[in-house]
Order: sequence, then C-alpha cells, then structure tokens
Amino acid sequence: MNLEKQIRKLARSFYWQTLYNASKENQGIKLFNNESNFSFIQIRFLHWLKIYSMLYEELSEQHWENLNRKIIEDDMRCDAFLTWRGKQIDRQNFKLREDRRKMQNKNKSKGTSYKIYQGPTNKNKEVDK
Amino acid sequence: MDKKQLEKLKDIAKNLEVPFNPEVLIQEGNAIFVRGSDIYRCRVPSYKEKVLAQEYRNKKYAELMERGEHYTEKGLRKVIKNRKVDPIDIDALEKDKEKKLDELKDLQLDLATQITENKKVDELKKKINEKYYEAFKLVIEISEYLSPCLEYNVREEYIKYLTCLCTEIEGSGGHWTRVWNSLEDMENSTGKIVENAIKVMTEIVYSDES
Repeated sequence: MNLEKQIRKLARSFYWQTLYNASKENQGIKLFNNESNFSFIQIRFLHWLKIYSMLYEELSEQHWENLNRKIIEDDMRCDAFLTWRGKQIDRQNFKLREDRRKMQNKNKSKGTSYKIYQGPTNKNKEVDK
Repeated sequence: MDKKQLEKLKDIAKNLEVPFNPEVLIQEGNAIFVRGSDIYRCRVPSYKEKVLAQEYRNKKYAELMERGEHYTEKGLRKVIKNRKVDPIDIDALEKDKEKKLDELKDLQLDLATQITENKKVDELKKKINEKYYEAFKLVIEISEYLSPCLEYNVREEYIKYLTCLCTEIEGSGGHWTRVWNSLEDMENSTGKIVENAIKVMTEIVYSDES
C-alpha cells in the first residue's frame, strides 16, 4: 500500500478521528511528539484528518444525498465526491454573489441612497454664534 | 493503454513507495526504517540545516552555471523541441497531461453521483484508474526528458545534502549517530541505504522550497 493510502487510512480511523476532535477542545492533547518543525508527511496527515472530520460531520448531518460511509472509506470514491462537492460549493457561492448583486441593483433602481454627513455647514455656524 | 504497459507503470509507482511504518513517521516526524539488523532514521531537518542545504544548493547552482555543462529547464525544452532527430514538444506533453487530468475530473464527477454499488461504479473506477496511469505515464516521460536540466540536478543536491546531515543509525543505549560524516562518505557508500534514505528524505521535506 503506498504512503498516501496509508496516511488516509490512519486519518479516517476511529482512534485518530477521536484524538483529533479531542485535541480541538483540549489543547493539552497533542497529536505529535514534536511541537514544531513538522514534516511534510505530518502536514499531509493533518490535512486528511481535517477532511475526514468534515466528511463524517456532514454525513451525520445528512448534508449530501450521495455521501455514505462506504464512499468515505473508498479513496477513489472519496476523491470523486470531494471533486463534486467542491463544484457544488462553487455553484452555491456563485449563486449567492449573483443574488446579492441583483439585490443591490434593485435597491439602486428604487433610488434608495443615503446622504453622507459632511459636518456642520456655515449657515449653522452663524446660528450658533 | 494495454495490460503490459499498465503493469509496468504500476511497478514504477510501487518503486516510488517508501519502506517504513507511517504511524511512527506521523507521530515522531522522523522516519525509522530497518536494514538487516540495523535501525536507521531520517530526522526532520532543523531550520538551520535547511538553511545550510539551501546555501549548498545555491553554491552548486552557481558552479554548474559557470561550468556551462547543463541546460536550464527552459533551454532544455527548446533543445529537445528543435532537435533534428525525434523532436519532442514538452509543452504539448504537459497540455496532454492536463487534458487527461480534466478527463479524470469528469469521470470523478460521474462517479460521485452514483450512490449504490453497481456495475457502473466498477466501470467508472476502472476508467479512472486507467486515466490516472495515462497521466502518470506522461509525468514520468516529462520528468525523464527534463532530468538532465540544471534545476532538477540542483534540487537533487538539496535533498542529498539534507539526507547526509539527517540520516542516523541507532547505537547501543538508544543513542543516534550520523551515518555519514560528509557527502563524499555518502557517495562512496555501497548498499541500498543511500537510495532508501534519499527516498525517505524526499517525502519528509518535499515542498516548494526544495
């Protein structure tokens, strides 16, 4: 089994997911023996810990119809799902931006605008005197 | 791609695998591997060691530039493209590789919409595997054409230097000592230790800086 496969298998295991989630709540729980100068492998492992934590959370919330445990545990299907998920999120964000832009244009055409306060005028100063 | 070619590529991929326990590598940061009755480790280099390796790499770069024996990557691409016998367009090979990766993404999007295990899932997985190896074949081909270039050589020197500094052998009492005191010692060393150690160090430090 190649290194990446082994890292992923460890990252989605019950032991490491539990440790990861616990370390988020309790800073006293360390994932690694070293506290700095992390190797590239450790960085990749952290990346996969985060990804699998997110996937298990979305699975428990039944966020996606086409996500199940078998898919998470199959590297190829998991990669396929992550590619698809990325596209879905991009589409959602694009739609949000478009809706926001339409709302702003609608407000402009209604003449909804706000006068910017420019401080006291000379007329007011004379009155104050 | 035929079955024989696919098997050959799988062998190449297997040779790139590193021989050690990943859980130890993850928890320790260091990579421990065994050869015969000896236990070795490739330590994660410290910041100072990385700086020394970068200085060595820069010195080697200047030396090789002055000698004029190596093309830069840009120059080598031009030479290979314009040669009279069997010219190769590396840029075209890279575009082909990107095209294969885009086709792989389309297959992945198709696979992602399959919820139950069925025949289509197996077919798609087989196609994705083949597409992956087609792209991998191009990566190997491009890497072979460009391996004599200056930048590749200098990158190898960086890894070699770190490997020399950070490969240790366990002695009595759990005490670790350097395997090689100098690059020359390492280069003159026989056996598979050097090859294994370089492979391991490449995994530990590979990043944009190398």
